[in-house]
Amino acid sequence: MNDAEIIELYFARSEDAIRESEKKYAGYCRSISYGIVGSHEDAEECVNDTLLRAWNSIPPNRPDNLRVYLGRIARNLSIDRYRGTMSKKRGEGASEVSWDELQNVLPAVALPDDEEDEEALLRSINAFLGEQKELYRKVFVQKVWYLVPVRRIAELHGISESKTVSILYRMRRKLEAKLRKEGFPV
Amino acid sequence: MKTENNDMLQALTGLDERWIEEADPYAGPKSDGGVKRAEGASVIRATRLRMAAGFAVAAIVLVAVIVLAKQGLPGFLIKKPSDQRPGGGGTTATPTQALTTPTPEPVTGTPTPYIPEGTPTPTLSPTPYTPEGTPTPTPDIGIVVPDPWAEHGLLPRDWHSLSLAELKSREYYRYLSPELFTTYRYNVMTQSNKQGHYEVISFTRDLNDSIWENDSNIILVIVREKEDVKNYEGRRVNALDLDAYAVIDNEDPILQQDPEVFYSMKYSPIFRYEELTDEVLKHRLVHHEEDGETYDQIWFGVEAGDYVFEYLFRGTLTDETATLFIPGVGEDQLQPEELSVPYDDRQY
Repeated sequence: MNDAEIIELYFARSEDAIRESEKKYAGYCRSISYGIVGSHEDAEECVNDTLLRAWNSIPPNRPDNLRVYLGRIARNLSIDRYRGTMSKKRGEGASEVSWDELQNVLPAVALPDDEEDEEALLRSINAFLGEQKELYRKVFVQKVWYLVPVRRIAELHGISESKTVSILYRMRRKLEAKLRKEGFPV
Repeated sequence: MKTENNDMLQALTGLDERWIEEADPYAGPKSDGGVKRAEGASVIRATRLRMAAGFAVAAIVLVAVIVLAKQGLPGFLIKKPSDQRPGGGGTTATPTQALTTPTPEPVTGTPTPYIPEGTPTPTLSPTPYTPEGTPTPTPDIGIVVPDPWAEHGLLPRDWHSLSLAELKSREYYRYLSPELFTTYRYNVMTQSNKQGHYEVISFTRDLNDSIWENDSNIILVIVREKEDVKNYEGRRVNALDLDAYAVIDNEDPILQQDPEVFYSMKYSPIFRYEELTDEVLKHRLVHHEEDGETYDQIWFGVEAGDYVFEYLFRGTLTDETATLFIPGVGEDQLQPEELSVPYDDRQY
C-alpha cells in the first residue's frame, strides 16, 4: 500500500491505517528509536507511541512524506524517553556511544526562546546543509538526526571512522561560523 | 536561552525532510540498520583495527614527501600544495492536535531488529590497486605509487616493492599488524641517503582520494634501524631523544626552524589510547589554517626492538580521532614484553 492510500485510511479513521503504517514503517521507527534509547523494549514502546501520535494527528495533518513524518515523531518521543530515563539507564545499550559522540558534533548555539527565532535558526541550518557536499551533509544528518554511531556512518560510506569524525568536526565548525555570522548566539 | 545539547538535538527534529530522507541510513537495499549497534566490543575492536590501518593508509605519497624532505626539502610536509586541497525549513513534526481519540489497537509486534533494505555492506578490498601508467609490480605486491606524485618528481623512480613473503621475512614485520598487509594496499620503499638506510612502509585505502584533499588522516611508517637513526643528522635525532621531547616547547629552536614536531616515546605510553588524548600531547600538534580549513599534524616516533617507527598523523585531531590513529601497532598487536626497550639502553 502506498503512502497516499495509508493517509487516506487515517482520514477515513480506519484502524487499518495503524496496521499498514506499522507494517511499512515500524522497523524504520524502531531503528531510529533504538539508536536513541538503546533498549529494544523502550524502542518498541516509542514505536507504539509513534503510531498513536500519528493516529491522533492525521488528520488534520496530511504529511507529504509519511516515512519522515513518522520518523520525526519517533525521534522526538525517543529523545523525550531517553531524557526521562537517562539518570537510571545511562550506560545501557549502544546508544550511549552515540550520545557521547554528539557532544562534539552539535553546534554550540544557544537556542532562542522565541519560536520564530528558533524557526529562523532551523532555516539557517537547512540552508547551510544545502550548501554542503552531499557526503558531508549525509554524515552530519546521520549523526545529529538519526544519531547513528560514528562507526556505523563510516561503514555506510566506506570511509574511516576518523574521517567521519573529521567531517563532523568541520561541519560543526562551519555551521557555528555561519550561525555566528548571522547573529545567533554561538 | 536554552543551551543544553538536548534542546538543540530536539530542535533539529525539524530539519528539512530533504536532508532527512537523503541521509536515511535505513533506506534502500538490505543492510543491517540499527541492529549492529547492539553488537559487542569485538566489532568495535575489529573496526578500530581496520580503521587504524585505514589511517595509515592514506599516506603513500607522503612517504615520498618525507623522504625528500629528509633529502633536502625540510618543512615540505607542512606546506601542502595549494592546488591539491579543496578546500526549507521544516517544522517540528510532533503532532499535538488530537481529534477524537479512538484508541488504536494496541500495536503489537515483536521487537525484531529492523533490517533495512539496500545499504550495501561496505567491504574493504584487499585487492592491490594498480593505477594506470604505473609500472606493474610483481604479482603479490600490494603497492601503488600514485602517478601524479611520481610525475611531479615527488617519488623516486627507482622505488621498489617487496612482496608480502619478502616483507614477512623482515624482522621488523612482527612489529606491525599482519592485518595491515593483508587488508590494505601497501608500499615499501627502501631509501638510502648519506644519513643512512631506512625503509618506508605506507598503507593506503583509497588512492583516488588525494591525500591533500582528504586530509582527515594520514599515517606513514618509517622503519629505521636504530643504528641509522643514531647516524642521522639533524633535528630528528634530537627529536628522537626522549629528553629532548620532554623539553620541546614553542621556544625551541627546532620548532622555530620548522614547526613540525617530532616525538619519541617509549612504546608503552604513546600506544595507550588514553595517552593520546593527553593535553600535553595535543599541545604538540602543529595547527594549520588555510583557506578557512584547519588541520593538525603530528609526528611521533616509537622504538620497537632494534627499530624505530616514526609515524605521521595529519588531519583533524579530536579526542575521538586521537584514539584511532595508531596503525597496526598498539595494545591489540603488541605485547609489552615484545617491545620493551630499557630507556637506559638508548644510544642516540
